[in-house]
Amino acid sequence: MAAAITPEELLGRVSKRDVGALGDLYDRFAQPLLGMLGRMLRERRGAEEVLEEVFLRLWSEARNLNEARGSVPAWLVVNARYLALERLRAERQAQMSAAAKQAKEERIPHAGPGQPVSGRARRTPTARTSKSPAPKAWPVAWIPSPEEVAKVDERLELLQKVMNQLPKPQNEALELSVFGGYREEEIARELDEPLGQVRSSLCAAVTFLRHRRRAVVGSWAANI
Amino acid sequence: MGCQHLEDLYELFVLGTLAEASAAELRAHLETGCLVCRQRVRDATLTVYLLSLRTKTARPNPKLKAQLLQRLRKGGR
Repeated sequence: MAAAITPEELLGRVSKRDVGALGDLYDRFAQPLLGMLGRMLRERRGAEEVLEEVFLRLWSEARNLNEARGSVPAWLVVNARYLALERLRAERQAQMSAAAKQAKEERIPHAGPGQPVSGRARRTPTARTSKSPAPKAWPVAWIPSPEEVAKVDERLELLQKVMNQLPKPQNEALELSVFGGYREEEIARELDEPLGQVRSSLCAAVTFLRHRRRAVVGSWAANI
Repeated sequence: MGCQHLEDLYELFVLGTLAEASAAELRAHLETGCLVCRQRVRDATLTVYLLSLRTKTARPNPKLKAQLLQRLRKGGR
């Protein structure tokens, strides 16, 4: 019985302009990607637009990724996240600009000192505008190898259980990071916690997960 | 920028959670080609990969695949 073709073998075909091979990769990865995107963007249409965009980008980047021998599923997840984050941030910036304009027009007084920080209208607008150019793809040199991802995939169920062991405060901050697309200072405002505390929670969470992952897949040699 | 103090920041960088200035600084450092940090980011991506898949799958509109492949066959990006 022939061994199943790997995503990287399909990528090799995509890099030679095989549209059918891209369709095969779509069949393998569209559903988990859309699940992630749906949770981040919270609306179907936007999630599907990003899903299409990430596969269009894979088409464009196939040769580079193939030469770099990077993992296809890891590339897809990272780039889909990256596109979703950009979209989320542009939407929030547009909302803040609209709210600020409306407040100015209605001459609503700003909240004074001592009032709790809450809600989107209190966020300091970032320098990014809603008309920022499309972000570049995540560099292929930063994508792990297929072998590294395969080890994680083999133990996925166990690793997901490990993640459920995170203490609630760390899990809360991490949730806002992973699926809310918030930067640490935004998480601090959402949770009404000091920035230093949020940074500590997040660092503790990812350190825990990193160590557990390395223990489960046996990658102690990762401490270079 | 030295590398030792960045140990816990790589995952936050890959997640897009780092404050903009810190992320820009780390990105600039990575773009110098630091091999240690590059390997750390690759390792951190594995954690982000795991975290990102911590969700249910969803079926896309069946027309989406057909539209995507048709667009590529016509020579579009």
